[in-house]
Amino acid sequence: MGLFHEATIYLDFKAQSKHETIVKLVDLLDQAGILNDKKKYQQEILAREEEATTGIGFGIAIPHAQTKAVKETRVALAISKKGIDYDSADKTPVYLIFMIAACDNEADLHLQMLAQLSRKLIDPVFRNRLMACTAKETALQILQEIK
Amino acid sequence: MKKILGVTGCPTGIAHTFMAAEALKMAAKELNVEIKVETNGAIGVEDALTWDDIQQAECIIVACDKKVDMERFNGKPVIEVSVAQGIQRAKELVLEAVSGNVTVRGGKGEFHHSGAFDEKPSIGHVIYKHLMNGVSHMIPFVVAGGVLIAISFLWGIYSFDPNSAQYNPTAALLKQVGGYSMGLMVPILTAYIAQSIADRPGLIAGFVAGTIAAATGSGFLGGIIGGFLAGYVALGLVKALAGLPKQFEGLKSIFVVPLISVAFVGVIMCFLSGPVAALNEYMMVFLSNLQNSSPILLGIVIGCMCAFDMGGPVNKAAYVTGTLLLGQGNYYFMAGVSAACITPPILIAIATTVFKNRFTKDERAAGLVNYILGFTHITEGAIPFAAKSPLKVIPILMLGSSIAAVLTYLLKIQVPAPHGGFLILALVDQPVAWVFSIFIGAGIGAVLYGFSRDKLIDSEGDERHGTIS
Repeated sequence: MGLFHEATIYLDFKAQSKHETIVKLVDLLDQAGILNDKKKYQQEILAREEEATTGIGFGIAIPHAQTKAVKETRVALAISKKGIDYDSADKTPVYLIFMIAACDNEADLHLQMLAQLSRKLIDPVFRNRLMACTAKETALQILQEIK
Repeated sequence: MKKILGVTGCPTGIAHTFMAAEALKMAAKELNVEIKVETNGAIGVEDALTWDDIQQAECIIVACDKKVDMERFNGKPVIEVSVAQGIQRAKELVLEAVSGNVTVRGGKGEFHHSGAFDEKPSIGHVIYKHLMNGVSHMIPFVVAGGVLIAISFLWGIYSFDPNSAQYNPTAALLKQVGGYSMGLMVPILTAYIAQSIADRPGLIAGFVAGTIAAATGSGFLGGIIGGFLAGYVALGLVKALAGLPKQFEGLKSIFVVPLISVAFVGVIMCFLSGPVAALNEYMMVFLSNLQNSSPILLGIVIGCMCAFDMGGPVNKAAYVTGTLLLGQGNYYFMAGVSAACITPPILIAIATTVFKNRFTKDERAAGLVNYILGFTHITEGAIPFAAKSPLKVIPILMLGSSIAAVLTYLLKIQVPAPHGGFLILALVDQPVAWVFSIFIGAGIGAVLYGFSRDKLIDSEGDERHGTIS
């Protein structure tokens, strides 16, 4: 039921570009059985990036889409040690990528949790702890602090 | 401690909205500034700003990539940026907000309490809100239908009648289309009163109740009763059935609620139709008698109502009565209402043109715009002027409007369209007399308004308002 799951956490993530990052994370979500329609979800994610990059600085990016193509709400996390060129607003590389798959249901309680996650990401201590993770369990533990 | 406000929002509303809100809060905390942030996210609006919040705030930071209600910030310093800027430059934004150098939105003195922030609206306000939801949905039908019918009269008042010498097929067609649009007036009014109360379930019984009201002659009075009845019955029904298991949700909304609410409300409406139709008939006759027996009294009442709150509930009460009577073929009543609604902005415009040395440069510019607003029947144009010194200006506007309305009723002018100001002059039966009535009222008022203000010593002084006498 949680927003995060071991199967959708990617440690030591490597990608050459923003596009590759997105494709890889969409694959990961699809393999975990989260998506109804992989193609449509990816389109929505790219469309949102077209509007404005979700690499909002502080070394994080949060590509996201709320669509019917999503079966259940889930957030995939990728942690990169090297940093990825994500075409960020502040031109710096990103180290944490949260890909949000939100299902299209207004009554979804997960939206509240996504809001809390977003709030938490502004906290530099929280971000640094996540970046330093070397095991999925530790990452999950940190993420579970979000209420 | 200084207090500022934030508003954040983005198109998807699941991430940036909240990051920006948090960033602003952190920055404010660091800078020792009190802040409240409204988030416009997918979960709806959270921590909505109240009227008091806005009143007390030093500045409002709007970090949004989607449309939010900005009107409420008129008269306050506002910084507008994208949601991404709100996240990245939170600290700079907060510093800027407390610097005191932020441009004020919409100019000072145009600060209106919109009522939307009232946390517990009064019963009167609730009824008014439901009624207005119905009226605002109804008016476009009346405008479209009324203007089409009025256009058909350009060929002659009997141009629709195949037996008349004036007969013209195009005119007959226009009148027919207009008639259908007008015919929807009461059902739409009723349905949307009910919808305002009970949302979609209310619409169903509302449409049926409205159609019954229209068909049985109980008219708009029956429609209003039917709207509230249908709305509250549907609301009660939905609440009563709330305990049903989720599997019955579909059955409930397409079968049980419509069937029961339509049957119940429909039967009551049919029984009520006789007495209500009589009452409705009596009211219509009373109003049209009044316009024959005491045109002066009627003109004063209408004039005062229209100018009292310029587009507010009192003005709307007169206006809606006019449109409803129009729907029943009374073209006299509306003529006075329109004249009274057009007068206030024209009065202001004339005053600012004639008494140049008593108005500031900004006021004179706003005055010019009032000509256009007046010509197009937009009473609200006078509000900024009235707001500066309501106790003095509103009585003058009421007097001007009353004169215009009284003259219109005395001259028995007919205006067959519910809106449009001077754009529909071609449809008015005595256009010259009508414009004359309006300008007499506006002219007398303008002279009084002009003399009520002091001469400005320096005509360029924008800060000086010559309102102290």
